[in-house]
Amino acid sequence: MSVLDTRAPARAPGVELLGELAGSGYDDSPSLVRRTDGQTVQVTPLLYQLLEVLDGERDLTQLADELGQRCGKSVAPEDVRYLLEEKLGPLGLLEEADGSAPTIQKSTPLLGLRFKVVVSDPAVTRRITRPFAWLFRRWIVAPVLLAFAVTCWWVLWEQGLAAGARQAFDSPGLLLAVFALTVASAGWHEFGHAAACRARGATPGAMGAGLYLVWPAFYTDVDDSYRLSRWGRLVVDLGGLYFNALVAVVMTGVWLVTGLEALLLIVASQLLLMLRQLAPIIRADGYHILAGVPDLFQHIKPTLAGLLPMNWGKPQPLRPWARWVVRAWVLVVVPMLLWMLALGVLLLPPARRHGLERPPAAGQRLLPERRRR
Amino acid sequence: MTELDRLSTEDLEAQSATALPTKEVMSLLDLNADVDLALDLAAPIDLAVAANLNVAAPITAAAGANILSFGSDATAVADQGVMIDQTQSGDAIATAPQTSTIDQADDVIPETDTTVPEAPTDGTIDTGVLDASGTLLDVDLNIDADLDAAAPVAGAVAANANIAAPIDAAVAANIGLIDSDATAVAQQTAIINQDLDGVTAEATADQDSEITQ
Repeated sequence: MSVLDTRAPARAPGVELLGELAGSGYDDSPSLVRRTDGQTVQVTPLLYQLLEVLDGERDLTQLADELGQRCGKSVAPEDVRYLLEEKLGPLGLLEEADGSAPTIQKSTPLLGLRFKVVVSDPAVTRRITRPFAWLFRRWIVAPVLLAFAVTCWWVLWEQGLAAGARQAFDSPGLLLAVFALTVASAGWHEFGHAAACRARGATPGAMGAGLYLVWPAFYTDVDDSYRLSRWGRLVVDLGGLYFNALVAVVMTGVWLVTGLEALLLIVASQLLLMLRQLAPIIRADGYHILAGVPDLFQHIKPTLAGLLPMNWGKPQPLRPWARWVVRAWVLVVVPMLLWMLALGVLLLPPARRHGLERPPAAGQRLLPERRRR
Repeated sequence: MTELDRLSTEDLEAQSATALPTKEVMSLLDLNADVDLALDLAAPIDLAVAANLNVAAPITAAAGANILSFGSDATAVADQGVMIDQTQSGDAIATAPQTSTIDQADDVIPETDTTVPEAPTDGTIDTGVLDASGTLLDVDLNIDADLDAAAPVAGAVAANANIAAPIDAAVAANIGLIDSDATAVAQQTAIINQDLDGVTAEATADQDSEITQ
């Protein structure tokens, strides 16, 4: 017997209705809800309307009537049961029989960040990034971007990096300082995302460090930005790059005052970091900027299936422009990911050759000469 | 009163609820990848930056070995070879193949492994695991303009890079190796050939360093 036969269905405790996902690229804009564990769920409009009327008091018949009025169609109680049991229940959006929220594991996205360590919890993140939100005011952004463009042109095409490199190599301390500042700027990049979140009215979550594929990475949870407008989401996605541009401009300014040519290497390092972040292949900033449709990776399978002749002409949930963007992304990224995978396999033999090909002979002591005596 | 259309089976099946991935924006500390990136980018921008890698690779190798091998024996061997050919007579052509091989492990290499291989003299470079490859080469073309002016300076810079590397390797070794034995061998070879309007400038910088701690 289903729980629906014994009591009126209700939303799970803590479920928030966030409203429509604006500028999503779908024909029928989906809406967003958030579970108490922070997981954001995208639902189609009818499911969202059903969630709105779930109050724990209406039974299936009453829910069907209410839903029918909202969507303008005749809805049977069996339809409501189907939607509750097959669509909303598995995502943990309905209250359990004992009134508790179901325990559902959060989604683990393909090529997502793993092995995370939280450095600042959401409350700390909000506090330490608040002072930087003003940097996103238009009268600040415009001159900074202009200064950044001039800086790039001047450093790359006029000044060059030779003098800075020579100075850095003459003084290894300077070289290490450049290296350290470059690493620090990667953390500063995350401040940019979090500050942009605050500037646009969303709440940044935890910040920390983790392991992405094989690389160490800083990260910021900006899940709350899902509920922003398309422009708001774009500002959050670009916030990190904007802060890298700020570093480049400030370092050029410090160079003007101090004359330390090596500082210009940091300008170059920022450009390299920014270029890397714009790659849309993995879940870097470029991916999020492109993903007006949330989670492009989920669209790989349906997009590839849609290319088969038997599926031509079938209705698609995405708008035409979004469909072409997703198709282009899939057709570029899937071969590249396969190529990277193949390359990784091909590179394994050299790694073995250098590291493992000469195992110590049996009985040979694996210690330096001094200790062996 | 108008009869409403019944919600169809297709309508019901088309409804979906999807858990969105946690949106975590990242900044990668892609140190190894940055090395690759610099391999590709640095040469066209300014040959001096290509020399950067000579410095960076041994630093990383030695530091990593020492930290990971705390309380045990560690041996780090870092070999690098750089060959730069440049011709400038109206057009600038630069070829800067660079290969880095970093062999780093917690296990100690047997006695025969501690000998440093001879520096390449015939211009051939061994292929290693950090061989530059991939789409990042695309960026090279944009920055060729700087190559001409920067090239003469690059020779000196490349030589400087070789000085910096073993110094940093030694500093890193002192951090991690308490009550342990560590052997770091860093060999670098840089060969630079330049042609300017028929005038040939050739700079060669070789450095072999062996540090035992």
